[in-house]
Amino acid sequence: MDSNPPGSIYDASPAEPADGAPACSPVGKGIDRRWLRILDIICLAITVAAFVIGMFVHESDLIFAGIITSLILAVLIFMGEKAGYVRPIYVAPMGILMLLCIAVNTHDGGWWMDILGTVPVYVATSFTIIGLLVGYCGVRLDRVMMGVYIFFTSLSMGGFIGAGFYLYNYNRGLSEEFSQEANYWIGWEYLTVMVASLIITALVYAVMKNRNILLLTSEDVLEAEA
Amino acid sequence: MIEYTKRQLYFDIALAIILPGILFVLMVMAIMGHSVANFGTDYVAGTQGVSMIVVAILPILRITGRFRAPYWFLFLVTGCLYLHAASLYLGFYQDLWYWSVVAHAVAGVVVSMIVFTGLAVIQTYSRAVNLGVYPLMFMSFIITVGFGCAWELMEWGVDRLAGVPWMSYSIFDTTDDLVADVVGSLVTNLGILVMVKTRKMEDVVEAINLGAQMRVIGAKWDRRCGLDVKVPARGEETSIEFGKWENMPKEERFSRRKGPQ
Repeated sequence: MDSNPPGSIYDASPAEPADGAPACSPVGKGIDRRWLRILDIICLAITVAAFVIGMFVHESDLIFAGIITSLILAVLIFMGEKAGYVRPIYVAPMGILMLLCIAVNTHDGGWWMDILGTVPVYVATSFTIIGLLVGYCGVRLDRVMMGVYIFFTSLSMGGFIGAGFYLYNYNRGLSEEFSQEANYWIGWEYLTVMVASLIITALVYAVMKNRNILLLTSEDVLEAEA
Repeated sequence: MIEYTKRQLYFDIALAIILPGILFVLMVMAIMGHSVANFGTDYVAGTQGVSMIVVAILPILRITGRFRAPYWFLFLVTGCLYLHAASLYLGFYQDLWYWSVVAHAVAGVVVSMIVFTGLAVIQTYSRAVNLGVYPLMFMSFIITVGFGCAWELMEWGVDRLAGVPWMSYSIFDTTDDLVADVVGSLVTNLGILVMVKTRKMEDVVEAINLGAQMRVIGAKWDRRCGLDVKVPARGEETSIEFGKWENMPKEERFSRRKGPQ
């Protein structure tokens, strides 16, 4: 019996797997898993380096972002196959992009840099939590539920980060610069978060329409490979 | 099938008139300038008007038979809206510095309960989705906090459009509200944790008693996800199972309808 018929919600297999590649791996086509692992470690090294540099140059944003991304990547690497298809390699570029944005933003940033800098951390965190839920808790989500989940995780994450930065800036006395706009600053931040969450959700929804890759756990992968 | 008696019908008609009716009176009084709150007529009257429409929805749905929410659910939602709307009219938000926090914490409790109920129903009546108890609680927390953020965005938007600080009236209003939402949601989830420790989840969902249409919605959800399941007719009794995925034979787990979704 075909345990994963094409077109079913648990069908994540590429049309023709490459030689030696796992049957279902969306990143396994022609890429040795050892290289993936090395890439994971390189990404982790970059984020840890960002944290260390932040410590040296006394840049708190960089320290904060470096810690978060390093933790996320470390969790994913530690989880390994348990994380199903939520692989560090998907998350790492977003984390690195965020770090780059923060680094640039420190010197010359615009409002758009805020979006570029903050969206990746929501995506990375949402996906990591999904990995934990799918890998360790046996959670199965269909496309709509996944969309709902991604949207709200991203929104609540952004809400907390926005509120955190607001309080941080206030304590540093930066809110004085906003003058009467102080109360509105956090609103703009939340608007950014809302737009970002909608974009992320739309992307995930579109990707899952064709490949419900995130539904799988390592157990399902092994079953399909067998 | 749960019987809908004439007495219930009359009661629902009374609710559909009285519940929005009180808010209508408050709205008219606010327009006439009798509101205790000093937030501006438009804002106070507008809030009563919007709340009036929302509290009328559930009784009307009960009367028309489209969705017969149990009374506990109806009064919970209505009470929460009254807490915000009526207290705004009475000036609690300006006279009591902590009122916004209290209102948000209560809203956090109520929204979290509603979200948990919705997720528990999907979990129970749909086979395509499997959440489990603790991830379900986690999701209800996340979604509630997300709602809180969306609400804060709405408050900001209203103030921005109106050009006056009606809804975000202090420098820490947003952060305080968000913390209150979190606390409210945690309280609900703590209650749920105690509940699931002492009762089976199937019993909890059955006690929610949202009616037979939930089974129909669950089956339709499954069909949309590609599962070949029969949609029960209205009123048809079907068994419910909470941990269905774990109990389902593997062959059945992967027995899906072929072809594109």
